[in-house]
Amino acid sequence: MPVILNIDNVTKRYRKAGGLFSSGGQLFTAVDGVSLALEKNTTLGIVGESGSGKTTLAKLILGIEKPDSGRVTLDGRELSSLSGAELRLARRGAQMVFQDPYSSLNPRMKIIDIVLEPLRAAGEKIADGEKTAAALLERVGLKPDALLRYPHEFSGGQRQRVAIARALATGPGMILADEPISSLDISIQAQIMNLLNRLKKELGISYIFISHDLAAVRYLCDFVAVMYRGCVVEYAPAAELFRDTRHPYTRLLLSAVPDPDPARKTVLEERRDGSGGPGPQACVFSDRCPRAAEACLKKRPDYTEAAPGHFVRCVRAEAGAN
Amino acid sequence: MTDRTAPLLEVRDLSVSVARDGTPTRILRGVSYRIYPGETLAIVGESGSGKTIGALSVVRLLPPGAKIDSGSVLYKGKDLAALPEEELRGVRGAGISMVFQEPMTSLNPVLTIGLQLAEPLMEHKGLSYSEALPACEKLLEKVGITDAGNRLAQYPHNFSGGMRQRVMIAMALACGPDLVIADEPTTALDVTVQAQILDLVDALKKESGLALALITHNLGIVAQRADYVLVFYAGRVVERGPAEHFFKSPSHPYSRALLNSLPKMSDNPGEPLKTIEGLPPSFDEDLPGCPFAPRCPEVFDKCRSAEPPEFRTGERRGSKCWRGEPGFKP
Ligand SMILES: Nc1ncnc2c1ncn2[C@@H]1O[C@H](COP(=O)(O)OP(=O)(O)OP(=O)(O)O)[C@@H](O)[C@H]1O
Ligand SMILES: Nc1ncnc2c1ncn2[C@@H]1O[C@H](COP(=O)(O)OP(=O)(O)OP(=O)(O)O)[C@@H](O)[C@H]1O
Ligand SMILES: [Mg+2]
Ligand SMILES: [Mg+2]
Repeated sequence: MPVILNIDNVTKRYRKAGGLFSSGGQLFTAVDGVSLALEKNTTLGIVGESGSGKTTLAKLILGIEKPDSGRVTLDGRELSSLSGAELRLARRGAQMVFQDPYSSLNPRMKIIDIVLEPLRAAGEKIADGEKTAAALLERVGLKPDALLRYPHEFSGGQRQRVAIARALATGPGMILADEPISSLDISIQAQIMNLLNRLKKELGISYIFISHDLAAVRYLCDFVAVMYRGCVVEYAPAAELFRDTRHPYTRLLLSAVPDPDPARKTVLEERRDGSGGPGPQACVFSDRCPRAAEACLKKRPDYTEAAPGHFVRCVRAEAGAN
Repeated sequence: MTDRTAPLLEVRDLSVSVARDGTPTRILRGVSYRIYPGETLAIVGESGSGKTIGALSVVRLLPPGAKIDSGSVLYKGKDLAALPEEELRGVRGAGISMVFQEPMTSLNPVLTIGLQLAEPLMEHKGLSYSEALPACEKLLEKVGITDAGNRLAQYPHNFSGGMRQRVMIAMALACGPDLVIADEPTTALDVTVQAQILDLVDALKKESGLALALITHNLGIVAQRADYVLVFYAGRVVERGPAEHFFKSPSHPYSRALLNSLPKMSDNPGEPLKTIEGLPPSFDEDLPGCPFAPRCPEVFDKCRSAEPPEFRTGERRGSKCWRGEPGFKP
C-alpha cells in the first residue's frame, strides 16, 4: 500500500515552567521519538492519555510546530525543510477538523467564505466561488441555501459539516480530525461518522482520527496507535488491538470505557497511582503498571513487533510472553 | 449534615427566550426538575435543545439577549431567578459552581493557571494569593495533574485540552459547593482520567452531599454514574426519571431513538450507524403538536395537532408523549 504520511522518530520538547520570558528551565518532552506511517485511503486512530502529545503530534504533522528532531514526510515532501510558499503548498495536502465547531468557524464570515478560505490561503484563483462552495456543501449533505448564512444559524452538527466541507476544499489526500465528534449529540455523531466513511470511499481520503471515544475509534479506524507520555506504546490493526490487547496501558484504557448499560458496572483494571513519574531510563508506564518488574525500571523497552503488524513497547512483548 | 430528603434545587416551569434580530425566540419552555443532595442528575438530549441555556439560567449567567420569561429557581429558600445580582454573586462559585462547556474560551489566556485557580478562594474564602496557593496545588493533584507546583506558573496555552478541562473542574470544586453544574466536563479526557474525576466527585457526594447536574452526550457515563435523567428536546424536558428506567424502559420515542444511535463496542465496522432522520424543529416556527412528531417513527394523528403534556409513568417519572396518555391503545 502506498504511504501518504510518514512520521520518522519525531521528538518535540517544550519548556517546563516559567511563562513567556524565562529562558532557562527544564525541558518537557511532549512527543518522544514517535514513528508512524499512514497508508493511503486508511484511517489511523490515535488514542491515549490526556496530555500524552496527540495534539502536539497533529501540529507537527501539519507543520504548525517544528520537531526538535526526526522527520515528517507528507506525500513525499519533508515538511520541516519547507517554509513560506512551499510549506503552504504542501499543507494543502493535509487539512484539519478541530474539536470545537463553535470556536473553529469565524462567526463574522459567511459560510461561503469559510468554505473557500483554504483555497484562498493557498493563493488559488477561484473562477466561480458560489459553484465551488455549493459543490463542497453538497458533498457533506448541506443545501446551497446555507452559503450566505452565518455559523450561529446552524446547529453543532451542521457546523461540523461546514468544517468538514472546508477541509475538503483543497482536495487534500489526508484529513486530520482532533476530537471531531465529542461535542455533538449521539445521533449527529453517528451522522458525521457515516459521512467520514462515505467520503473515504468516494474520494480515497486518509484520516487521522484523534479521539477518547474508543467505541468510535473501533468503528471508524483501520489502525490504532495508543499514546502514553509522548510515546506510542502500542500500534496495531484496529480489530486486532481490541481483540488481542498487548500493552498494560491499553488494557487499562479499555477496561475504563463506561458501559452504556447500567447493569454492567465498569470495573477498572487494577492500577497504581504513579507518583513522581517514571525514572529517565524506565518504561514510561512503569510507575503505574500493575505488573511492573525490575527490568521495567532499568531499561526503556524497545518498540517491538510482537505479532505481524502489531507493535508494542513492553518488556513482556519483547520476551514474547503475554 | 444536610437533609437529603429535601430538594437542594427546584426549578419550576422555567421559560427562557433569546432575542434574535430584535425578536424574542422562545428557547426553554416550561422546564421543571429537582435535584436532591448527593444526587447526580444527568441532562441529555439533542444538540441545540437548550441544555446549556437551561444550566446557565440557574445562576443567571445567560448570554446577552437571553432572558428568563417566567418560572422560578428555588435554592435554600430563595428564588435565584428573582434574587438581586449582588446576592447571586455570593452563590455563584460558592454554593453553586459551574463547569462551562468551552474550556478554551472560559480560561483567561494571559493569566497563569495558579491565579485563575486561586480566584474563587480569594473571592469567597477571603484568602490571599499566597495563602490560596497550597490549596490550588492540592486541587490540581486531585484532578490528576502531576508536577502541580510547576504547572501553577504556566499559562492555558501550555496545557493540553484535557488539562484545561481539569483546571475548570478544580476551580468548580475549590470552595466546597453544594451543587456543581457541569456542562460536558469530560469531553476532552481519556477514560481513565475521566473515571478518576468522576470517582472524586462520587466521593464528595458521599462525604458532603455534593449534588451534580451533569450535561453530557456520553451515555456510558450516564449509565455508570447518574441517579436521575432528564431528556431535552426542542427546549422541553420530554422525559424524566431514574437512570435505570431510562435505559431499561425509555418512555419517549426520542429517548429510544437516542439510545439506538449509540455506537457499541460490539458494532460491525462495515455497517452504517443508525441515525435519527430529519432535523429538529427551528425555534422560530411555532408548530402545533409534539416537536418530535416530524421525525417520530411512532407518530399518529393527534401528535401533529396538539402538544402532549407530561404524563406520569411512575414514581418521579414522566414523559411528554401521547402514547403515555391514560387509556391510550395502539
Ligand atoms: N505550547 C506549549 N508549551 C508548553 N507545554 C506544552 C505546549 N503545548 C503542549 N504542551 C504540553 O505537552 C504535553 C502534550 O500536550 P498535547 O496537547 O499534545 O496533549 P494531548 O494528548 O492532545 O492531550 P488531550 O487529550 O488532553 O488534548 C502536555 O503536557 C502539555 O502541557
Ligand atoms: N447567544 C445566543 N444567541 C442566540 N441564540 C442562542 C445563543 N445561545 C444559544 N442559542 C440558541 O439556543 C438554543 C439552545 O442552545 P443550547 O446551547 O442551550 O443548546 P445545547 O442543548 O446545550 O446544545 P449542545 O448539545 O450542542 O451544547 C440553540 O438553538 C441555540 O442556537
Ligand atoms: Mg489534545
Ligand atoms: Mg450545550
